[in-house]
Amino acid sequence: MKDDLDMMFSRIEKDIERISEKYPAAGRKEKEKIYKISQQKYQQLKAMEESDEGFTIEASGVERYRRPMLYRGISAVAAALVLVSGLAGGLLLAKNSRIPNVDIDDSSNTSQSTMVNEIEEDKMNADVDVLVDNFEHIMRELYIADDGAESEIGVVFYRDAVNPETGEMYKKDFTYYKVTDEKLNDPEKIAKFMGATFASKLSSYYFFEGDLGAYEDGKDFSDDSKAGRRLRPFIAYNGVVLADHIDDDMSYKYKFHEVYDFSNYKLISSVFDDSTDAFNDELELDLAYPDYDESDMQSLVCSRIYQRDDGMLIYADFLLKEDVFGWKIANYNIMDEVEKRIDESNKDIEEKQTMAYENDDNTEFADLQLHEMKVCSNEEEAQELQSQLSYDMYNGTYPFKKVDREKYIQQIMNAESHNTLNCLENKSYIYHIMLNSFRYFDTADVTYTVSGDAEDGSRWSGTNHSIADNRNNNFYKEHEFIHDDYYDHTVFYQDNNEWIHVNEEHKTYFIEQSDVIDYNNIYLPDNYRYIFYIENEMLNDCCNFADYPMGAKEQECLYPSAIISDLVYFDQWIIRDVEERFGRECAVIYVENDSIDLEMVVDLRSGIVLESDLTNKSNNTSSTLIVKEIRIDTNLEFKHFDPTEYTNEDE
Amino acid sequence: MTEKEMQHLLKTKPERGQRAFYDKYFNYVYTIVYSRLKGFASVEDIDECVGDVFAQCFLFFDKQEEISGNIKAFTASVARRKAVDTYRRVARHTSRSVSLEENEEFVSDEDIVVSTEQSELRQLLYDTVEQLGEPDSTIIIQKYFYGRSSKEIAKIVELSSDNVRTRCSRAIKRLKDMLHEVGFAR
Repeated sequence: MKDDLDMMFSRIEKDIERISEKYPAAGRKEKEKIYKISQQKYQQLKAMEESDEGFTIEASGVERYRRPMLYRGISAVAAALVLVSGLAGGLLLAKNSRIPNVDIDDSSNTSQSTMVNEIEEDKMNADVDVLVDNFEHIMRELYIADDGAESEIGVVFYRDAVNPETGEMYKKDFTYYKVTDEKLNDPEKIAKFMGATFASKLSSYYFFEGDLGAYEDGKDFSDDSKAGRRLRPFIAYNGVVLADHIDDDMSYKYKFHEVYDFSNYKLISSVFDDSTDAFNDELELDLAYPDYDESDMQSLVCSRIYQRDDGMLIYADFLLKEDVFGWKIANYNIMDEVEKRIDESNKDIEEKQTMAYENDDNTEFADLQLHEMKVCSNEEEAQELQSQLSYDMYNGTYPFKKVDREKYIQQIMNAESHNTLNCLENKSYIYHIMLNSFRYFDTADVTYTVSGDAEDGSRWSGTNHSIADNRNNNFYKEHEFIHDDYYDHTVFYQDNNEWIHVNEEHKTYFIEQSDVIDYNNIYLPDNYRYIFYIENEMLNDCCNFADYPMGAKEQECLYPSAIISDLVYFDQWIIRDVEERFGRECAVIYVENDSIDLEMVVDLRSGIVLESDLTNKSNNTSSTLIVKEIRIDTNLEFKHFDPTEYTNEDE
Repeated sequence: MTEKEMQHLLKTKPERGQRAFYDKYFNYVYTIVYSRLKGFASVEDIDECVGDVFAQCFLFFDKQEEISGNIKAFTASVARRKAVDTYRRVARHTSRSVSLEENEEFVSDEDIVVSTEQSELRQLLYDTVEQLGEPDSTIIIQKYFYGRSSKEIAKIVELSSDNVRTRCSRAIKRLKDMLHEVGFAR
């Protein structure tokens, strides 16, 4: 019979249609994987089509490199380089794996390695002291804006750039300030200083040896694409040394005094190790001129722990390489103990005691999980983790429990500065409440408007009325939409697994059956919702376990998880302000990345979005959502569909 | 979401429109590609091919001032074309000498003479499979239409492989009985 069946299932068109309509063609994971493939291929096709449209500074790779927060130590500098040199790709950051066997409690300040014997150790530490002091000088100049110091602008460069998404030309500006540090403020001095501090690649990364005046064309590099690539954090221009200050508005960046002010820290330990595994991926730059092969140079890692006045520990790893003149810094990785802790926890995905959502019902609230990106070292590892998490999710490994909302709401509303407002805990709370909004309210009745600009400049608008009863799996949404001569008036009813779509304009409807998902028990902690892996030094999305209640319907307001996937990149958004709407405490969130600008007013108690303003950079369209009325957790009378006078589309 | 709504979304909110398009046509595209490349190309090649189809469609939608017409027919056409491309690419790399004409999977539908009787029997077969209920009907389709292993099917229906095997053998028995009852004898 099996053979008979094999023969009977043909693959002619009619059968294909029937089969594809009724049965899944692939598993959910495979489907998501292929979606990712299709997006990558689509971006490749787009890039190929745009590649003939002139000099493009933004797009040098097809896959967008997204910086994990764990690389923050060097990323701040990397960001500066990207800003000044316009390199979107080609910058390969050091892996953040840590050097083992650093004992924080060990009061001895040295230990022996196979390479550095006891006699040499003192000399090595003295050499590293000098290198670290030099490094501090360099970083102090770049972070000088931290002190609120007014710096004198040396020059503003302009360069024609092409927005790879829209193809439009625009002027990109690069502001450089005069360097005041006496060790760095002369072209010859800074060249020597950089050469004495950094190995050649890193030195070239920070300073271009040559005068930019020779390459400019009226402070405009549009005629010389290579000139723009010579813009580094430090440059010499008409005999004056200038620096591009680290942008103070970068929410992810450390302040100078937080991690680079070594001369004011106490050195706790200094360990040498000839294993350089922590820096497997060397810094690699798309330089305007050939770089040097440093692969044969002798190398070792110096891992130091410093302590700030406030007790916070600073972990500084320096990759050292020795040339004929001595040891130089070839790469570095610096972080404070908070990030170190996150980094350590990231290494062991099985440490479920760190999870916010414990199975211990004796605790009143779950601990808030501090955000970290789950980055696997390769795709296979990521897929294994995905498979494990999928199993965990459907087997109730992580039952949901609410965090202490009042604590975090008060903490956010009473934050005294931008920095305290944007601390990791506050941002993690907002991320959590938005990912899990529907778990924090039982019912909601909300009326809101949506409007926006289409690509052709025309306006569209709509009004929505949504009623949700999350505990009883009831949902109602009436939606009116108008754009030019297009008009749509639909109503959607969900009553458990029955979904009814009603076209009010034509008085028709159809019914779908869908599974009702138990979102309270089918759950994963926030940090497991998105999984990434590293491939070819690029960060790739593996999968996401975002919750989409009511399917993928347009519920931007009540169920914002569908629009907050960008929030996983904590360095791309900030809490801009707090305010009250409808008597409710709210945070104003601002997201900016390569694709979108998004400002949202988020109810801190429910995660519901009360207002959003989104600009899509790829096609220059925008949309706005504004809640007009809202009632949360009140007694609601649910609306049911009466089919009288309507035609069933399936009959 | 209606076809018209999706077309509108593809122009006003392309990212969401693309996702909606993908969700709507994934099964269809995958099935077309799979049915043509099964047993010849690897799963990875098939995934790549399906990705190519959607990428091509997304780019096409980008270029259109207005998206109209029969999207389904267009999508099927792209899927068939990309499947042929993949077939040729794989054939080149594996030095296989099977020509498109020799491969029955690529014989055009018009060339296939399907008798009315066969067609009716097949519809009866599919009706009966549907009557098995889920997840058994999906297991049977995955096994016989797609030719997937129990392990592969397990990922789709989210059961263990052993469970799939057990359910499958019982479902085949039930299917046989049901087919005999309705006079289906082969």
